[in-house]
Amino acid sequence: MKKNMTKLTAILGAGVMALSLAACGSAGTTSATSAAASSQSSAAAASASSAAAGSGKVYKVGIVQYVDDASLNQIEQNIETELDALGEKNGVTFDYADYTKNGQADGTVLNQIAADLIADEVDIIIPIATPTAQIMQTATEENQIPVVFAAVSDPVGAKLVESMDAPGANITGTSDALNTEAIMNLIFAQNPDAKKIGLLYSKSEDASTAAIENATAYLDEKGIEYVEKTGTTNDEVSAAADALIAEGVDAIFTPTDNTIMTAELAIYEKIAEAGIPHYAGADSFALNGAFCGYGVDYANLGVATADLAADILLNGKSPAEEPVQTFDNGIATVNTDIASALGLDIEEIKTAFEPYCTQVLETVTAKEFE
Amino acid sequence: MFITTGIIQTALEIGLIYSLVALSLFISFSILDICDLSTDGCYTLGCAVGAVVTIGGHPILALFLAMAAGICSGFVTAILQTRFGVQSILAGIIVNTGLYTVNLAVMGFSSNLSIFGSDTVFSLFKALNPSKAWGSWSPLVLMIIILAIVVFVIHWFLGTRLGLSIRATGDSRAMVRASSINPGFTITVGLCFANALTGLSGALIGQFNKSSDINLGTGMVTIALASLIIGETFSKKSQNMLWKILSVIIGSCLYRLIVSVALRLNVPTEAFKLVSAIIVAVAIAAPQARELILLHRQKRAAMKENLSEGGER
Repeated sequence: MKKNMTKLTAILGAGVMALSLAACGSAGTTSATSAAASSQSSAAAASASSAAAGSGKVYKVGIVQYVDDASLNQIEQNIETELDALGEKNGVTFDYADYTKNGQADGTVLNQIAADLIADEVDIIIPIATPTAQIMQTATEENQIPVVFAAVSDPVGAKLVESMDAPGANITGTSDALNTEAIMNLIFAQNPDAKKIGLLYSKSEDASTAAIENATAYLDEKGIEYVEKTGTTNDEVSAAADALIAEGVDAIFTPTDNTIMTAELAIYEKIAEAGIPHYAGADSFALNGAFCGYGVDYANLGVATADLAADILLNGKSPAEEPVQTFDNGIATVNTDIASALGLDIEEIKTAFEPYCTQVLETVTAKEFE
Repeated sequence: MFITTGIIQTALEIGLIYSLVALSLFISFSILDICDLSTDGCYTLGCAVGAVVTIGGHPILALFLAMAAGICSGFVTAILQTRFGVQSILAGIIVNTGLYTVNLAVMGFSSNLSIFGSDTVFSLFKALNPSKAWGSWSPLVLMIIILAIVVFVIHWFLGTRLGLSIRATGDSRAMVRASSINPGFTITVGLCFANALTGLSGALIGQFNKSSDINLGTGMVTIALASLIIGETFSKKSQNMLWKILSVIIGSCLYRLIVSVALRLNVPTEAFKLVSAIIVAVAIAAPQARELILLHRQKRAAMKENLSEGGER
């Protein structure tokens, strides 16, 4: 409540200041200095109280959120609770409350947030999402403040790290890239006797290419036959699905592919009628009639990000050598309508999936999330 | 320390970069009296084109190609309103919407493009001198040089015959038409010129951030308008064009300094947009409001007089 009040006064202060500037140029300077003085004293008070609370060292952790978004906020919350827990365990304080900023998807403010955090001499910066991470990367090029990003789908493609295993600079973090192997594991957990896997995807999406390469490598290694069918329009996807059904595959795999996603409502019935379970790389597929959608558990990702940051701060690990983390256990969303159409028992599926997921959720076919 | 040199440097650097967008609006909004809402998209277009060419290894050429891209975008906006009778606001919105796809296409249908590791104008300029002080001040020096050139070009251009007819178009289209100048032509040239500046700004911010993102330009038009209007409060009564141009740049830097102070005060960024909107609304409404208040006072004074006269009778 008290924090809200200070925020409110600060907003009013900034508003008044801005207005007085707009109305008359010279009045701004005096109000700016007085506001500056008052905030300095309040900041000093805040840091004094936090220093008194923790017996050990105080680490300043800057968290930069890209925009208010359900998944991204879930990550932020989990980073914060995990930092609190780790601080208590190790007898140190992670002070993030004063250094948590939200860019509100406004790229113009992100540079200034970076400058602000650097002026505060934070010990580590945790940017959430790719654009935020890129700007923090540029801002820390000179001073080499460690950066631990969260939820960057393609850290190598975004040139944040040199490679996933050896980032090579002051930056590492966690990726929400889909782990293809994890979905493959689900397929064989449900049907250990699967002999032939259909791969349904579109050629126009970059994200699918890497996932399909991983899938074929996995299947080659296991010595399992697979059939690839692609489509770029709804009609082509439908035809590709027909072809896979005609091939008599035991299961169909689709990566996080938006083209197939759009066509999913058109193809799910015939796939289910043919008795083939369709596994895909996002929970939204399950909602639109795929048997199982698999996505990254953002809560888990937030915790891992905080662990990584704490490891760097407390144990002196170098971000250059800490591999970027990906996750092979996410949340599986199973469509119960389709499960019963395929003649599968939902409880059995849950037990089969359990070792590979943090959570198994149930859904029924619908056009959109409620 | 409450405000460090680093914070002021960043505020001035990006204040100068964004002042190019404010200058673009100065030409389209203040001089031509046209609301060009394609700014958001055009800015991202400059950033995308700049990023692609920079990755190709030509950071300086990137600035010029981004300006060329801005000119194309401005040309489409202008043709829609001058030749095909689309309302100017609508023309801007249409172009802005279309540019989203174009921008994605420029970036190879990916929403984000990183130019980390490629040479940028900033890194090239920094490499001129190995000293540490130069390293930290060179971006600001480079931006001051670029802005000086841009200010010179704008000032010169607005003084030419064509520039003068563009200024006249904003003041009175009928008058321009009566002098047998085609206002459609002057609007087209003006918008192309303005959008070239927006494109340049986008390319510079791309190289400054070392990345290009499809959502970069969201809300740019309000931010630039706020900067423009803060700046214009300095030069309201001035007739000097050079001072008018410079005040726009000062406005943009001031806006960024306000944001810095707000961030230092831990003002939530959620509030920034509303504050910008209020600045713009109040500043634009102020003269009209002043007149309304004056009129109201006059009325009351007149009523009082009437009453007292009535009392005497």
